[in-house]
Amino acid sequence: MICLEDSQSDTLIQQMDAQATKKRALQSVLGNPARLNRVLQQFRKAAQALSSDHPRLIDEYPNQWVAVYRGKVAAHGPTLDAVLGKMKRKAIPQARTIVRYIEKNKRTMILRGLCSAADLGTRPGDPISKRW
Amino acid sequence: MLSGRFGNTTGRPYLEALVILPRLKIESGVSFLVDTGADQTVLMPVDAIKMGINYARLVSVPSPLTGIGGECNSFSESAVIVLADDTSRKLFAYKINILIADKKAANQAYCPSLLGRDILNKLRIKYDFHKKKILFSLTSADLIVPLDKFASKRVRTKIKKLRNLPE
Repeated sequence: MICLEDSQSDTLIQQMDAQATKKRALQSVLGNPARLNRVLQQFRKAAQALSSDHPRLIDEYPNQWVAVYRGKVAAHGPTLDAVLGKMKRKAIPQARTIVRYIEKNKRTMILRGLCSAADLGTRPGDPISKRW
Repeated sequence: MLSGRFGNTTGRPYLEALVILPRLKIESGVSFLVDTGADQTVLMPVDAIKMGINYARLVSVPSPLTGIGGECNSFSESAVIVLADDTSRKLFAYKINILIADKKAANQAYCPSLLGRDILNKLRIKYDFHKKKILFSLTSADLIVPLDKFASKRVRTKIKKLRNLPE
């Protein structure tokens, strides 16, 4: 048998109370889990296309923005806005689509781009602001 | 087990998740770069723009987002991250404050969103680059929802029954 002091039991009750409230709030946000799972699975399928070697998007869409939906390229273009515009016109659901820039020359990422070129005193055209 | 993936040209490890922003009523799939060096999960402009986030409605964070090389403005938003476990047919939900990087910052259009340690600390990671496998298993979650119809109903009923304890 565990004996708790009043202050300890109060804290425990408060913690349980907070947990219950959090779980209920989360449950209401999630809504229908089966639907969420369907959306997520379709998105994962789209994303897998970026890991697939058949076909390699880098060969077909070098230096272009692509939107992949249901495992296939649904829209592509030179700018992000152009691709998003095409997606809107074709009524492609954004939640299930992955949009990425297919870069021919691989960037080395070390999180350098978390600032603007102006912040660093470099011009946008400088090599340092082009490469990560 | 949750399966991640490696980018086929970059070799970067990714994990797909569903991001729900309740206040903005937005939900979308996001492919996160697995980044154990990131303190917090960050939504980069490419995903934020795709999701249709209105930056004017976001609340700015007082301290800037810092990466190697500099800082930029960011916004904080309450979010629910949902991951799907294929083997056990369960959804894992995490309530976090997600950072949204300012779209004005240069070069970020190319950057993938980052899955930081606020989520990764609640997962176990098996990383095998040579076999092209990255697997995640759960250590904790704010809410676990079974996808099995009956089990899911049971959990929903249980949660509904949870009442705030009397004062």
